Amino acid sequence: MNLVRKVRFWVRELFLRSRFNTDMDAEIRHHLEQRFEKNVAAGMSPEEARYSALRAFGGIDQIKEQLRESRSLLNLDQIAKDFHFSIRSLCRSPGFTATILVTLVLGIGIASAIFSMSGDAVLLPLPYPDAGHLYVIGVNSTLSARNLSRPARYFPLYQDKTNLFAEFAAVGQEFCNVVVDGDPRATSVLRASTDFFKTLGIRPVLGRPFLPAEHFSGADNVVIISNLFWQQRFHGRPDVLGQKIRIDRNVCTVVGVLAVLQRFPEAFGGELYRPMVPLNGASEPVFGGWLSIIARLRPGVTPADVCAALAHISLPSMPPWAYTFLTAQKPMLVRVSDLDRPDVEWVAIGAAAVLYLIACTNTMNLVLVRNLRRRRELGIRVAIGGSRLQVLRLLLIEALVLGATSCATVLVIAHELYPLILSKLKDNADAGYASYLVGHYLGGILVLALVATASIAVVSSVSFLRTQIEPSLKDGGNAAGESRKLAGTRNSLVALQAALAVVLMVGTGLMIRTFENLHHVDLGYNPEGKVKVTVKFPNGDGPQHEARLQLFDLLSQKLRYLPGVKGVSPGQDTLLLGFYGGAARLQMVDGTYVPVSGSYVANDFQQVAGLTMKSGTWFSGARGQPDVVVNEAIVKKRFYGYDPVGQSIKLEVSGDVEFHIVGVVADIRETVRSPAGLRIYFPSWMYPPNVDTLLLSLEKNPPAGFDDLVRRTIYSVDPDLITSSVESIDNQVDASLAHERYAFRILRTLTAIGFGLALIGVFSVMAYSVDCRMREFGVRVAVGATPRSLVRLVLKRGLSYTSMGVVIGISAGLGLTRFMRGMLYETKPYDASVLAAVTVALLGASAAACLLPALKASRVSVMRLLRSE
Amino acid sequence: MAKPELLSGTLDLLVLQVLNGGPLHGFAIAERIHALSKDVLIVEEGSLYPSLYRMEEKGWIAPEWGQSDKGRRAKFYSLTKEGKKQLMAERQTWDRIALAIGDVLKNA
Repeated sequence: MNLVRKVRFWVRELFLRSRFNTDMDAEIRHHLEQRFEKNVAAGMSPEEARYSALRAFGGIDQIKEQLRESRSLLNLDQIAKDFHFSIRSLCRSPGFTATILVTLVLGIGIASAIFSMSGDAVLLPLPYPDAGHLYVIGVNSTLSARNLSRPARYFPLYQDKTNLFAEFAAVGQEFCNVVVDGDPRATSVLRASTDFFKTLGIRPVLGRPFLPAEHFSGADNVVIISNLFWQQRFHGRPDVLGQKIRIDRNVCTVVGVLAVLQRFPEAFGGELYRPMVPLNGASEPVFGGWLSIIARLRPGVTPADVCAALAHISLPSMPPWAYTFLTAQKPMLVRVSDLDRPDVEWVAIGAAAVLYLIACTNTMNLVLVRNLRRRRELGIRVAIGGSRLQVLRLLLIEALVLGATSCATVLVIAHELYPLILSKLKDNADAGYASYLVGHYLGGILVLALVATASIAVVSSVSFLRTQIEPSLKDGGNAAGESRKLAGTRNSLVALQAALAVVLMVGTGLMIRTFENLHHVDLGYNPEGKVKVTVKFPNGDGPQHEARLQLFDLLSQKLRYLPGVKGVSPGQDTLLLGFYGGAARLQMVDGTYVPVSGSYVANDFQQVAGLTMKSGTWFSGARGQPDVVVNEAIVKKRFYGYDPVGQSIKLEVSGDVEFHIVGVVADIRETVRSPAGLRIYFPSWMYPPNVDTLLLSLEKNPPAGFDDLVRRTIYSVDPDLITSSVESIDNQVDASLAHERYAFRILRTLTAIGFGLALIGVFSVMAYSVDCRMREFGVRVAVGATPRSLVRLVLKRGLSYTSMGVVIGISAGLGLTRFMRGMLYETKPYDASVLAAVTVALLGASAAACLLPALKASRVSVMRLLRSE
Repeated sequence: MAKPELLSGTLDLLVLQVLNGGPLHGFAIAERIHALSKDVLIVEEGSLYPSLYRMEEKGWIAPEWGQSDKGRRAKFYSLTKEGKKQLMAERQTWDRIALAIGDVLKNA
């Protein structure tokens, strides 16, 4: 065909379809008229001539249909008609359509939200250049989890190792009073070393990074803010650069703004960044500040090389006890990619994938059932001239309409609700930025909708192609015509849904168990009403000896007058430290030493903290007497369970000094999950520099605004003092379980939805099955079956599908919940009570779902059945 | 004797050949084939129009609306250049097949 003719042909096909139909009608009419005239000329009467002409032509409608179909182009106007018909057909079954749409919206919506949220953490490569060689430097303590911060003194010592590190940086965190537009709030501020942003490949999206000259005292009053801080505190104002904010007593200028949801390794992310200024070297207090240190290794340098080199660093002069403490710890490197908690994200992704599968399976089942019910209608369509291909096209268009509608609904909901949902799930206002990440979840929504549409289309077309049309036209069009394979497919889908629901339920059950166990953990004291206030001094550690104790006593007296405060005790931070570090070394009976932790606290600490004395008394605090209190762990380890009151212990750093044990106190946990370590309580007068915390005991958890009250009180005592943090220990306990809580929230929600969808699946299949078998039930009743026996029959059938699903689901669940091991607490992945509860719950609910169809079966009326025959 | 059925694939050849003599509408094409075959071949309308639409899509024939000899509006088909080439090719194929069948009948 030449080009001009081809173009004319396509234009006609695409834009003049209605002309095609008109022309075709005219052509056929002309042919019939010619035939009619010829018949009349041959002697037939007009009526005979017309009849003969029509008969000779054959089925006019079929031929017209064939001619329309014969066009190789998509037959656009026929497709438009099919769309119109599909929409009408779906609107005529509002229950079915609504159920499918709700199922798909839930499945696609939830899965895409979680995939986009968690996918970043586990699927995307880390955004830092050469992330494979990026490590955080920490130490391994002998008794507890690793410690990933180092005393600031180490920073210059490590930094010198230029043969090991291509790049080297650190941040030090402080909690400061940050005032913007007269509104003060406690905010995390990170002091970043010179190459910090460069090491992570991060640049502000507005403004600039720090200049080298700004890393000196006096020139460091500049700040780079996070995007969240900019939105929340500056309301996203475009002229934020150059604005002033007050950080404690410094007025700092905003010079840069970071990107939305800028990713940082754990412990390196904060709301505000200021330049780190050089340390004082040897005059820097040993534990004056703690830094998180990150380094990129040179090519060819391994973590083992680094650890070996760092273990032999010559430390500057320091008190012997500090030397002992530091040398007892072994350096370790943690790859940046291992810092986050990917197990939690994988659980979330896995649960979302299971829910999505349940939604798809449920939808496929509902479509299968509906198509089986429509066999008669579809059979008639084929009989009056439509080809099977045309009916298939209709079913595919229906699948497309369902998929497209659910996709569009999810997109609208995502835009409105995702930020809210994600921030609630993650307990983090940052997640509210999800609205900026349209690109992330848009792609996910489209892909998931496409897969769901394809699954509906496949099951729809396979079920139609496998169904025999003629039997469905002959009889009532119910059970006849359905192949055994299709019935098997239906039942398998129900079993699969039940299995998937069981997987989710097992995961949730294990988390419920874990939380039960965690909430019953005895921390050694009641965290409710306990608040820790940490105080720091500008430019150093403040008064060191008696003056320090007097200052903290004064602070305690003032804070005691705050409303709701029952008691205040100054000392070293002791409750819920978050880590265990055995600072000193306790001499054992055989002369060896074991690491032990020490707390320097006041004589009223035991009473304010609410610790339980096991024997003896708390020390009186009388000066000159080295009285100490030990915990139960020391009694077991050092004294083999015998009461040590009246005996003495020695520490390696103290030489021959003997500490007299005057009491034994119950263990307290440093973290919620790990058991208590060895701990000795010393009177604070023995080492005042360690006193930096005030423990408050309130009647109940602090009300809103308590934070401000505390800060103002401390300010009134000494305006130079900086209140670093005011933390409720109850909140700290919650915060330490944030990962578990996040996983639990997701599992709980997804399980409830998956469970509901699975029950819908069971109900719809049983309802259809009962409908098909009404005749059989009538015959059974006629030969003597009771209604109760029919109910039992239906229930048995329904429960057989879900039982199969339970068996498969539990097997799969046992395999998958291994990945949750890190989150479980005193709970095995194969906890028998959880498995039993899941089985009973699903079987019970399935029985309830089958009840309505079962009751319908039991009420079968033989007379009505006979009449309808 | 019952009228013989048209061999599959030959209708296109016959239509192209008939149109080689000038544009005709559908009814006329059927009548012409019937007449030229001395009333042996009957073209079913159910086969004719699908064949005409198919050949139009392939570009072998081109439609045009005009006036029939009775003054009625009718759709006339004419052979295109590609149609002429296709006719020659199909005639050669037909001749080869006819010769081959003849050989079998003669020598079997």
